[in-house]
Amino acid sequence: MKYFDIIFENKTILLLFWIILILSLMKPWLFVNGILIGSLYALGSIGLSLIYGNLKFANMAHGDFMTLSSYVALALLLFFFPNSEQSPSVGPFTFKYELLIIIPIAVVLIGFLAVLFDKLIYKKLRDLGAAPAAIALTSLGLAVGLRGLIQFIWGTDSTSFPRESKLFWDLPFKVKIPPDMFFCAIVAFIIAIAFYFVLFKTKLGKAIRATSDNPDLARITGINTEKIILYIWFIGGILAATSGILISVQQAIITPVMGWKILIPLFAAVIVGGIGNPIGALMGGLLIGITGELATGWINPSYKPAVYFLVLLIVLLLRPNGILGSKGRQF
Amino acid sequence: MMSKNKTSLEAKNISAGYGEQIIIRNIDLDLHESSITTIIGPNGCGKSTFLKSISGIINPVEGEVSIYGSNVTELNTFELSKKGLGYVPQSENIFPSLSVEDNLKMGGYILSNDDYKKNLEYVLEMFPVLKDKLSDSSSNLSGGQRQMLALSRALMLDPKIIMLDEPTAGLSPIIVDEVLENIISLKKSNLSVLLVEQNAKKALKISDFGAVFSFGKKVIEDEASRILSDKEISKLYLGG
Repeated sequence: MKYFDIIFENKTILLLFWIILILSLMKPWLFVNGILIGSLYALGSIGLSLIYGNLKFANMAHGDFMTLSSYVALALLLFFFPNSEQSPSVGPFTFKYELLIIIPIAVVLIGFLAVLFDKLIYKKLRDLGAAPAAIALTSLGLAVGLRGLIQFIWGTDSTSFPRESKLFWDLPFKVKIPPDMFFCAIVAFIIAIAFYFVLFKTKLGKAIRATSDNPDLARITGINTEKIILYIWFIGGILAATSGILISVQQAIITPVMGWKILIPLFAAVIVGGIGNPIGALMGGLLIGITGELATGWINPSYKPAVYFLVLLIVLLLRPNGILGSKGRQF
Repeated sequence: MMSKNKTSLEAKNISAGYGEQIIIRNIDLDLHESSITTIIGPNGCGKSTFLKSISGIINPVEGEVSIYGSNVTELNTFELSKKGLGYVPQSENIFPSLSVEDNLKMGGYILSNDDYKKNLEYVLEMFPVLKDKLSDSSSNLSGGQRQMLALSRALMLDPKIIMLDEPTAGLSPIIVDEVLENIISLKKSNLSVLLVEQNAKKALKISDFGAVFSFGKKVIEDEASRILSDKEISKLYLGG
């Protein structure tokens, strides 16, 4: 269990672990909320980290891809099922059956859109030998452009998937969970496990890791790295879209700036976990989610971003390459 | 005069570099089946750049590369391995995040399952030390074992031509001899070997042909034994 050894390798990390544990025992409902929210951060940050690990730039458009996926899912839902508002919701959850049909379609669409953007923009920049900073700035431009397009098509007001109000689940230790939150977390964990399986157990996943390690060597070996990059964008798009739609379901709101706002905890999670390491991103996402939620037990929730950066600062002071980051290793 | 086997690789008039800076100019070099050719020369003379330009890691600004008469200059790097060209760079020549077995799997990325198994058996026979380390992380291997893994990875595709960039760099003298023995066995398997080495004398001793690079140009090309016995060359490039 090498991942858990990290907790015991340094006295300060062990102390922080105990502080989080004690705070969690004092307010367990916040800890549970943190895991549930953190799982969605984790999903978003895994995609972000995958792209960074292979293409070596911070994809600033990741958050707006998450937003776009929610709007695309909503548009598809209203197009194919215009009467979904009247249909029954799924068991204890607030969302309607039709959404379960639409989510996979929207997710795959966004995956292909990410591939298209690579072919139209990023591939051209790579061929021109653009520096990672220039590519990151281009992605920032794409982020702003996407947000503008979303506001142009769907307006600036918030909206939501058709839903029905449902009661929270009452669990022991004052833990109250909205059923949707539980559903989203379970889906996020299943997707994260599936992603882990692809990355570590399949030939494609190993080729992705090899390309991340050393693209030139991968090419010499006979791996078509440009094709691998398209797979990376597709997987990254799928992860962003799933995370975006689940967050919209969980928060029962879709706004044009939701993805942009969530980019801060996502980047914090990626850096805390170790840049370019998707497993680290998963751990970082959970840590950011848990600490952010725990903090709301004592401070105003509007200070959550400050807590993310405090966690980021502490982790980097103790482990400059992040939780699972180490020189020369991406995965 | 030593007889030359069939030409496997032909590099004609190669000029290449990084960005605007041209490092090597107008280099011609032929490789032959079942032979070892060693390039020697001082640091920075363009030996590694030449190998990179042949393998397509950097695109030559001028010149042509042919493998068994087929022009491969315009091919992508990943397509060259299908044409029978293997390359082991000097450093960063393994995938450190992968296990030893996965490194070899990546070496045989384009192979069918049956061919992969057959070639894996062949390389593990050649480098039995890797057999017990298949599930280990490749980043935990010693310097010598890393070189063996890098060579094995390149051999997974059963290349006709293999280019090795300083395969003995940083290794202990015993391991150096072991690596050179392995290179001789490659020649016996009918491969054309292009070797770039700092251990110039040792490398030339096992080679059939030699070339001396200086300031980005090929200044001498001859049989390895004649380069070794030439006093002037010995004084200038082999340390006396």
